[in-house]
Amino acid sequence: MTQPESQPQSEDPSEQPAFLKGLEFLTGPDPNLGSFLLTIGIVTCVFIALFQFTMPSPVSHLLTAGVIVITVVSAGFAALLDSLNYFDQSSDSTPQASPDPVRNDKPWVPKEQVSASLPPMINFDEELSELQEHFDGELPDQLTPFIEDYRRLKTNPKNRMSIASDLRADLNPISVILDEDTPEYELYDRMSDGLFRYIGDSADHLTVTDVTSRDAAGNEQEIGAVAGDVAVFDVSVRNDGEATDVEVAVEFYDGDASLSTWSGSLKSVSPGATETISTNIYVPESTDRMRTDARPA
Amino acid sequence: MMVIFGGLCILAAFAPFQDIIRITTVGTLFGFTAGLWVSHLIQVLRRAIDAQQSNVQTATETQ
Repeated sequence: MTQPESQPQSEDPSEQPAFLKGLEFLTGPDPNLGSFLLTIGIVTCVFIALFQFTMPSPVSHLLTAGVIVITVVSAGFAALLDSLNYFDQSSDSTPQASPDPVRNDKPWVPKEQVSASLPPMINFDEELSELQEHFDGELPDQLTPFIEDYRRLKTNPKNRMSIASDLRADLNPISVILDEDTPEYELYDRMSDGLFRYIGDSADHLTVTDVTSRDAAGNEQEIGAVAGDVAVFDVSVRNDGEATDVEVAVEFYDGDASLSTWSGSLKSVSPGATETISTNIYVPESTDRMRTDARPA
Repeated sequence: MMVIFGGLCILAAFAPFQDIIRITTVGTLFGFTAGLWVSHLIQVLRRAIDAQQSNVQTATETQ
């Protein structure tokens, strides 16, 4: 197949403009298999018509056969390139089309749409911004694997646990380039703690932030004051992990002896959200203290 | 080069020369053009393979 636009093969490819190295010069920006085959088809038709209308009989057939052979060879190459995902990545393969992600303003922001926001404990946008400021706007190369995995973390909500493990491993080179007892090292520590907490027990992602007990008149009371009566309890739970249903338990004690337990649930608490469950609970007579607990349902 | 040879091939096909000269010129120029195209494809293929290998290597290193 004859393609009118290409580069000389004898030149050093590294000296050529980047877009001449690929098929983009032939097919236009962002080439795909369709545009490549279309270009081949157009040129095939032009040359077959040229030979058929201008050459005498036996020669025109020979040249036409030559064109068809080249077309078939080109189609074979196209199939090979497609199997190598060349057409999907060709726009990224050139330095112009794919600027170094670490040189972006915010390289940790993925280009793809993020379907589920990150839980606060592993949302490191703020830390990365501060680190970027510390390094005069350019994140060091040691951070590149971390940034890449962090973007994966944002765009793969179903696989976050394993990516978070990778991310923790990616943090190690960062600790080497930061001095301890500096604010930047605290950022590293914060990210490390957040990742360990996320990887750990998911019950630790939930925190009971506030518990209030009120009597029938609506006045806030100590637990001992409402013992032997029905009281209104407001239990607030903060979720620092992924969205989850939460089971809330309130257990009443007389000293160390457990008297009774009440449990309820909150449906689909979002990452970073604090939700409150309000309910009437009978408090056993000899209650002197209570314990609240929240865990994933 | 391919632009030059391809264009010359088309011009030669319409040139008012004797058939034998036209056939020889067009055949030669078409051969050059086709050869350059195939070598270009081989080069693109080789680059695609290199890019894929480097991607695999990068993915392995980041794990």
